[in-house]
Amino acid sequence: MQVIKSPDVYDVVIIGSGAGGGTAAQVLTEKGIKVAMLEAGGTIDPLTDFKEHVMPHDVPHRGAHDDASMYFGEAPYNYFAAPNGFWDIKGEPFTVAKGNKFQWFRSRVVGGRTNHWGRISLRFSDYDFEPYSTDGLGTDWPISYEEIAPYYERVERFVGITGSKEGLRTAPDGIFQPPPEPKVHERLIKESCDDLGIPCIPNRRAVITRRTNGRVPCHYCGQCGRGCKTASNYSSSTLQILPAVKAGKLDLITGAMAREILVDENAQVTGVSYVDKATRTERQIRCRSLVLAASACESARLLLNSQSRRFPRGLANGSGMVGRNLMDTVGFELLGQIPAMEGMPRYNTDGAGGGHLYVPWWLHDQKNKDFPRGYHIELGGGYSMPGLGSFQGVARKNGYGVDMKAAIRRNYGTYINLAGRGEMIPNHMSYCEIDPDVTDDFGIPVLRFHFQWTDYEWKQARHMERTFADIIEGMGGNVIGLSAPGRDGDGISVGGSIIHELGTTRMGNDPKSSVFNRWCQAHEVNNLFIADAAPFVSCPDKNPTMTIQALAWRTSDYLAEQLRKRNV
Amino acid sequence: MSKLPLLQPGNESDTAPAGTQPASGPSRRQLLKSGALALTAAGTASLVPAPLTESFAEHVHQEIAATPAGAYQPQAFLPHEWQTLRVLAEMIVPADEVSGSALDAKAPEFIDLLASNNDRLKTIFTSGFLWLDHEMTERANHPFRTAPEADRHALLHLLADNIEEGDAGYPSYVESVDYQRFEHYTTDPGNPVAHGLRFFGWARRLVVDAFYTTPMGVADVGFEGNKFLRTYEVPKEPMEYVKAKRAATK
Repeated sequence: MQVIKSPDVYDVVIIGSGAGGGTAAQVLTEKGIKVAMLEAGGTIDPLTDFKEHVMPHDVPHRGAHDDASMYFGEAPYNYFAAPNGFWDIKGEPFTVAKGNKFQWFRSRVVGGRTNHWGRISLRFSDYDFEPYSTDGLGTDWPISYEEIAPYYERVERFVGITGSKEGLRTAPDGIFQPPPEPKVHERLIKESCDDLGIPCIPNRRAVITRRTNGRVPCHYCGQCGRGCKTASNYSSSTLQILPAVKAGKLDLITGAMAREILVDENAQVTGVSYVDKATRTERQIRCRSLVLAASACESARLLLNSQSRRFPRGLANGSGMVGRNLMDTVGFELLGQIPAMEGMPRYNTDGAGGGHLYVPWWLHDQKNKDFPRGYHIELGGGYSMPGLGSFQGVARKNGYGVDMKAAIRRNYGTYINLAGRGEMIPNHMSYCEIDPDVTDDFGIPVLRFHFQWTDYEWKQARHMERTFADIIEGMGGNVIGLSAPGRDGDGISVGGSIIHELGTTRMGNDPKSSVFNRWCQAHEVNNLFIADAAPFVSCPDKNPTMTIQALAWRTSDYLAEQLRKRNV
Repeated sequence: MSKLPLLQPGNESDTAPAGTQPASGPSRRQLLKSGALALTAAGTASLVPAPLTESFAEHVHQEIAATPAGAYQPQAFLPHEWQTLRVLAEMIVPADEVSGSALDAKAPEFIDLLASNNDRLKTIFTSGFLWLDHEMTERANHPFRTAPEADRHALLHLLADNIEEGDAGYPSYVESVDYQRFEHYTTDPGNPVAHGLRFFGWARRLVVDAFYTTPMGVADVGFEGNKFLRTYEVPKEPMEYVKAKRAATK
């Protein structure tokens, strides 16, 4: 088979274009380093691909997709969302071991999941880097809060994060833009939280409310998940990758499915073998150093698939830790209906997208809980844009005809959603490995997932349930749906479904128990770096993206210095 | 009144206003007894692929001739199915003091568009129409689209009223494990309208979706968003409304 080799040798090749890859591309190209990026999906044009401000009736199928596949649960994703996120990708399967449940959301597009992500941007707390020292569970990180804090600040200044200084240890303050004012349902939730002694503070999201680095502020359409044409929120595509490509500093290769990392006899990465999807041919690109940023599980897959005589268990996997310690955020949600809001005068609740308030963890100092660690709460509600399915819940309970119409009108906008997002403790039953029997359409062996929650997470979810019910009832509201004790499997999210999967190539000081060192540089391959959530050592109750960005920035600074010193 | 019936023998008019026609003419049972069914054009149409029969072609031509110029031509549904869908949609979302009806919002046109691109969805509706006509004929001696209004409502109430499992009445809804298929319930097998429940669920789902995704439906519920704003401010009135309401109930 003919393998087409690129004549160029890049200083750095980055695999993946999400939050980590995008940040690495920005930092490295700004230093004048010659960089190429491989992306398995296609490119995007925000002006044509983002469906911002489109109403359902602006398209004939109104969001059902041309083939009405949405109605059968077979649509690739929400039609109006920013392009190319999938629970299932045609031709690119993964498997789940018998008796396990796991979902894997992947993007195949420039910018990856940052095109449509929730944009909640929370610093980890100081104690989050010392979980083992705090309660004896899990493993400590090889870095401290003080080491990463300057990089949090750089990310905040570049990206722009709304928020307020609160002085809470569980929610460290950063550089904040003015937050949008709370909506009515959020003020009601806050009042109920106040009564319960639970903090409820302005949300911290990657949306700008002031002109920032030449970008115009948010125009409050609340449609961040569709992608933002004015780049008033953070996507790696709009803020980092497309500008670098346009400036001629970054060679972007799309439709490139990485197959194997190539190494020489000295355990040095020399390049990447990838499949060009359009021509179904194998190609090679050469580099002096490599930054893996394909997402935690894809990066682990690539390492496991990069086997050689020197690395029979997969590249840089002497510890056997590649694929292990798979974690996802603990998710639990409860819906409440608030009768006091029935008949309320209508107003525009779109705002800056997402909740304008959130609840940071508040029981860090309480030692007598029946579960370790904690969670934060994300708030939902308001008069959302009517779309397909918006009123099915009410319609099903209200027959048909004028009574049903009146019920839909009366109930619209009276629901609130409380979503708990908590910390999982790594366990030996949760990992990914190469499935010995299955390959994807490009002949590349796929991942097989094993995933189990333990009592730690289950009890945490029950605490969420009791707390959320208290908040809803404190608002004079009615809890909809679940009631204790959690109706079997429905009482906790399916692993992977919160889309915070991480931990699969953890970092550490000991090469026997970790894959990457404190600089996210492989212990065994010194020109191999990682810039996604794979090196995370724990899964704190803060959304991972801003820590991916901060670590990627720090790693890129270190890599640039190593390149300058010719150490790699 | 002289059109050839397609589905059920009986005196019917596809273009008559819904609910205005009294039940009249021979019932299906009477026709069966007389042996007339097999000899009618309708009987033939049910045995031969429909478009191949002259009577069918004649029927279609009459339908088209009766349709006002420029009216929507359904892609997925035959004329009698289209009429059934229109009658059903108008019942599910009728006009009221706030907004117009499913017909005003062209809900059937939306459903026809989707069904014309998805055979599974189309079959859900066409098989549902047949079930509906059969059931209505049993009950009121008419296909659904021309049955008296009171009879149509009686049947729809049976289908739509969400009586919890264990209640004396029917239908009863049982949680389905197959929730991802958007069929949120399975049915008590003892339920006399069991086989219509799933169809009615789909019909209501699509009609409601179709109506509330039009400008008319959006205005009905009062959605104020999707605007380009320089600043975001929450008006005082909604919070004052809630406070007053809570004070009054305390």
